[in-house]
Amino acid sequence: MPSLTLSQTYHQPTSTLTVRGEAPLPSRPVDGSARLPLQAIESNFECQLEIRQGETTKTLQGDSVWLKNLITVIDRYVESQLSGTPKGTFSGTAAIRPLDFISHRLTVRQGEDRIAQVDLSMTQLYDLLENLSQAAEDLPQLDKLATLPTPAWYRQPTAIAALLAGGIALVAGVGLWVSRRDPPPPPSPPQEQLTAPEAAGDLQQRLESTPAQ
Amino acid sequence: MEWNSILAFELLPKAKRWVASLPWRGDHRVLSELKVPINSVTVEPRQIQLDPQALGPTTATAAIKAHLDLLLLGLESLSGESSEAVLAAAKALNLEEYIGDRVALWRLRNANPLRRTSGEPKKVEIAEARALARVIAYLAAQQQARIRSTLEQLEAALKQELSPFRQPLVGDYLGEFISHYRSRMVDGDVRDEDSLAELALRILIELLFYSSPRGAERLWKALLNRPEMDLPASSKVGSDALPSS
Repeated sequence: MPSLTLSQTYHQPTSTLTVRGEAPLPSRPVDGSARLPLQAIESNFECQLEIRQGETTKTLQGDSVWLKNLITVIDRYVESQLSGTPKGTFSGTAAIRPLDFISHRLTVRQGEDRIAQVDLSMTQLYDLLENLSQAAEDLPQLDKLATLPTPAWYRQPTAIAALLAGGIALVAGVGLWVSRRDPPPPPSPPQEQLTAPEAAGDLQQRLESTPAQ
Repeated sequence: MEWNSILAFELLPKAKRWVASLPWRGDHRVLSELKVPINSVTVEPRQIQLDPQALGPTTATAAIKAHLDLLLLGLESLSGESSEAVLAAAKALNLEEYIGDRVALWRLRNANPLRRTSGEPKKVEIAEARALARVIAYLAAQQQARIRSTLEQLEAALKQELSPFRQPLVGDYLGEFISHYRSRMVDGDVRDEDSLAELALRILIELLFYSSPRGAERLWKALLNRPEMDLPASSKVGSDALPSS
């Protein structure tokens, strides 16, 4: 199906957010001055966030889920700051916590196996919030945007929980089965299944457990 | 400035320690226990029908009234502007119904239970509080450049382990805020310099977030989520002091 690439860049003094994605080509030609709104984006969404820190710039990127998590986390965190009860928070692939009076540590997943950390000052946090708030207003469909199924499905918290529960049930079942029969079985394969996802999910767990401390 | 130099000499060595030790809690003391024993809450159908409170709060809490006044104090400390700026903002926003003149503004600000005012606690309707929140966001947006410069100066000073009090913009702001607070609030005489500086800086940070085009909405949400405050003992006894603004 023919599509059109739409993009938008949001600027603040210390941060720049660029979002882009594909929208179905309109059936009627759009006149030269009119632009399709970002709301028309339906697929292949991606975003890039640049945070300027003095002479250097930190660049982060992700898909619609990544951006949604970042928006949720930053919004919730600033809300806690402004209501007088600041506390660290996380959501899926993003986490943030206070470092001291005016500094904050943002931790986000980058790709399959990498996490990135950025320390933000108050003004940087403000700029980031402004960009994200504007993008959230322009992309009300962010929740519903199609994303490709991630091959690292086992790193999802729900998948980890389900796998662990399944693994435990399987081990228990084998145990029950073993207790009723002789001779003893060889080392149990389900245990390997149980440990492998745990190790793979360690990154996710670290990402999620650190800020909660 | 004498005040600045005194603070610089006295507080420079403490600056880093002070920042590191700032407690992560609100600037008001949060109630640590229920004021009403659980077993004293009784539900009487007749009361539910007659009591408008049962339908939701219609007046601002003490925490909301205090915080609105402190935000105005912060703006005043930054720019030196007085009630004229607030009244002009109310007019620009068509909020004269709530903040039409100095008397109305005086009543709203002096509803802050921390104020050295006399008499019983003053009620502020939710609509009045909301109007004041919109005015604060409007004024913060007008002063955004100054708020941001002051905050950037603070961030740079802390990064270099310098005393915030020695930075021109931050030092002036802190000096004004602390001086106003001491003269107007019941606990102004008993709170130490560090605790007042902490409060002033928190207010400054908040003002940056409220200077956004989404500032009024953000402020209102934050006010509604703000935990109720524990008033200093001296504010519970009426004082005969004249209102200071």
